Amino acid sequence: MIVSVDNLSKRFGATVALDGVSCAIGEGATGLLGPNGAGKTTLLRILLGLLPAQGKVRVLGIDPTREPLAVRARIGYMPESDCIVPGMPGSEVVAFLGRLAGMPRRAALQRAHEVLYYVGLEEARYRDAAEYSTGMQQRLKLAQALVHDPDLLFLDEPTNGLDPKGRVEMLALIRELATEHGKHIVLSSHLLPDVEGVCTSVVVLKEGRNVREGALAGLTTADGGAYEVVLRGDRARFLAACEAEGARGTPEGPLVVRLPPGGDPALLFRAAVASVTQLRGVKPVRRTLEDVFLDAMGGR
Amino acid sequence: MPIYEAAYRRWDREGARRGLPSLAIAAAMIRRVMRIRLVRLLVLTLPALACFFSFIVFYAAYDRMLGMMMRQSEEGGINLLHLINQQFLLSAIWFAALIAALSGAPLIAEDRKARALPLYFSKPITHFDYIAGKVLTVATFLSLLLLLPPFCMYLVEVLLSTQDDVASAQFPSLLRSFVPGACCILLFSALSLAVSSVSKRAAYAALAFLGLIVLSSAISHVLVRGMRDPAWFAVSPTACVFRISLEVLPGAGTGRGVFGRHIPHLDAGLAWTGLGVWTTLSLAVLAIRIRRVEVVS
Repeated sequence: MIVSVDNLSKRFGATVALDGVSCAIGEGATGLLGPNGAGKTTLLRILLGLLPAQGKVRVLGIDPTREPLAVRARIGYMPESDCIVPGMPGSEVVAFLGRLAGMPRRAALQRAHEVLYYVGLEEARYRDAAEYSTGMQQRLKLAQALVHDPDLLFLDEPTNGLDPKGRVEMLALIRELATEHGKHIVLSSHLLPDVEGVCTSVVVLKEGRNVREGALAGLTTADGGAYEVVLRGDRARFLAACEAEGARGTPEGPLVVRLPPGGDPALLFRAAVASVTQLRGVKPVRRTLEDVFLDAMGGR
Repeated sequence: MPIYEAAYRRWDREGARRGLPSLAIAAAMIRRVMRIRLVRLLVLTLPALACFFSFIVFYAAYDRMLGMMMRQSEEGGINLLHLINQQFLLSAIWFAALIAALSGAPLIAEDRKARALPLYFSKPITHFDYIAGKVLTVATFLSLLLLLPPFCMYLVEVLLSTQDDVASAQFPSLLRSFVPGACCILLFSALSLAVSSVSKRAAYAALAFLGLIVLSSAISHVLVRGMRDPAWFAVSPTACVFRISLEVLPGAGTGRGVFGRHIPHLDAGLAWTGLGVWTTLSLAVLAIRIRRVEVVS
């Protein structure tokens, strides 16, 4: 496990930020989902060793509450807020933060240029970072997180404030880092398409509690007995035949037939024979991440 | 043709080490502060002016100095280097306050305004590294004004003296000359950064720092006159530095400066205590603020 959290709690005065969270984050890209105020940023800050908390935490096999510096040396963190080291050009900001990560001066400067090229800021690297647009500042934050070549990246709302094109490019970069460069990524976001497009597993937080966790493929498996059917023939007759078998279908729009509990998909074929129609396609309906998220939030 | 490839490359970790992050912070911050034109002007001209001042004292004002020395030697001995350093400190301390305000005030205030603290503390550095780096930055600028000139004056004296053993004979005096400057550097660095940590606007922080220095001096004056007790000078950190300079630079005359003839009557122990309290309070405020601001941000 890359990150393991056991019964983690954190309070800020009377406010409970995390309430007994337990989860395990494996290799690859993991989405940390939750509405605003769910405790995502607090959890990341505890994992970085920036905040004390109750409970057990291990990041890359290290306890961040005991060895915060050792953990941070192996983590790249991209904060959520608009933040920049003021009064320096982009290349200097990244090189400076590389030096703080323990890099020698020359290596930090060279890596700064490399990662700025990688994130697409090669033209702007000598400009004062304070003059960067929001999209460029997001790229700069990603560059500084990458400069010391960390094993694990914590990306907190990386697409905040980006236009559609910038968002697609940022997600493509993150996906590439996870799939081609072997980086483990924890992507904190409340934007479901971002997580769905990049991550292979998710942890869903709600009001400081872990309400869903697992591989994305597992969470979005077939929706218990719902099938999308492509039919040739009389739809009404087919639906009537389905109802006779105990199944129910949608009268308009894409034809989705929900089988009775424990129903066998073969009934679709029996209904087609009975209604003298042809089945041109049958596929199970998969749940989207949005369905999973809304279920977790109690919205459905 | 780009020098670097766009593809991501791994870092081989050659030369990776746990050095002193505070030095990296100080180096970057010095470059950042040197981008302020006024700081550049002051930093480059003031030490030069100080050296020129010491040269003029030795040459143009030598007779006058000699007369003063003769009078004071009758009162209990004179040390020319101590005298010049004392006179220099009396005027340079106000320029030092100005440099501390210009260089120290933006260091944390602008970091807070730009919300840079999460970037710093996501790297393997401690609060101590951060504060030490910032203190080192201000201290570097102040050293150029308060430590370099005494050293230059020492060199001028050594070069112009006809005595063979002047270098070794005056070396302890050189070390003593550094003490008031070092006290001033520590105090002003800590105080300017403490003020910087409570504001997000560098200009307000600079004005607040200068206000603290001037106001505490004015209040100490009023209290000394009102209570007829020189102990109240301890309220002013600059008065404490002046008194300490009289203590560690014997034979430098009375060094009245803006605090008048009563300053030598301030107990030296009280001056050290006053200075210690100001510096400790400043560092405590700084540490508490950085911790709080970092957690909140």
